[in-house]
Amino acid sequence: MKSFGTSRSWPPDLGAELRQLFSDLKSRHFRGDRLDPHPDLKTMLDELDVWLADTRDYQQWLARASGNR
Amino acid sequence: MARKSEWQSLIDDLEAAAATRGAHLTAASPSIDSLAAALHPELGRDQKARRACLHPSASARIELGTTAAAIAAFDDFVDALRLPQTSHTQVAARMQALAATFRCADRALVNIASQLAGVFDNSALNVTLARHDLEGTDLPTEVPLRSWRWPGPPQVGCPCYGGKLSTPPDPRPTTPRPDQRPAR
Repeated sequence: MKSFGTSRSWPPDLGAELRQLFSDLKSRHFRGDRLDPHPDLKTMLDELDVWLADTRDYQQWLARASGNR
Repeated sequence: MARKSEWQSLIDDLEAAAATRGAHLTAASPSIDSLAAALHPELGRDQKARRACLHPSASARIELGTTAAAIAAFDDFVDALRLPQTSHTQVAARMQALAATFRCADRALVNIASQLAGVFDNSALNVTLARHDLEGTDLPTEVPLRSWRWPGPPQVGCPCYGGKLSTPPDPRPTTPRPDQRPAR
């Protein structure tokens, strides 16, 4: 088994590897495989927008909570 | 209350996603870098700072959705494949960045993946279809049939028999009828 981060030992040529990667992408999609270890840029920008659009003023809540003590 | 650790986790994930970009896509999407620089774990305390980050976030999305960004991501992908020392992880990261540019343009890379695979396989049909999509060339009116190999001989009426409705020869040995048997 190859360990993570090893060099690719089988690049026959650029076109063949591109063909294989795009074929794998299609077949993985049909199988429902998710091999990506991290969320992609689009997912992260969507997630960030939700957090940035949060209009609650947490600082005011903190001040109020500390004043009540 | 300010959810500092959650913001830090979000920033780490965004930076990991931004690191999937290669040199071309990084140059084509500078808003992501300015957005990443503006983010900090104390954003949960600062509503104005959060609001100020919305504009670079929208700009980053627009930049990633352009055709130039998709081309830049594809160039990064090809550049990574050209180097034998590029790891599988890095190749997957470059493809993930390419797919993200498609998603930002409300498209899906997987929808054209089989056509791209056919083009890189130098398939005549896929190359012709790609030329039709890109250059507006005419589609072929007749698709030539290749000689059959699997799963077996073509059926009755197949154009491989010259387009005639003829029955292919039966390869099984036939048993002669009693009246056809040679006389002893």
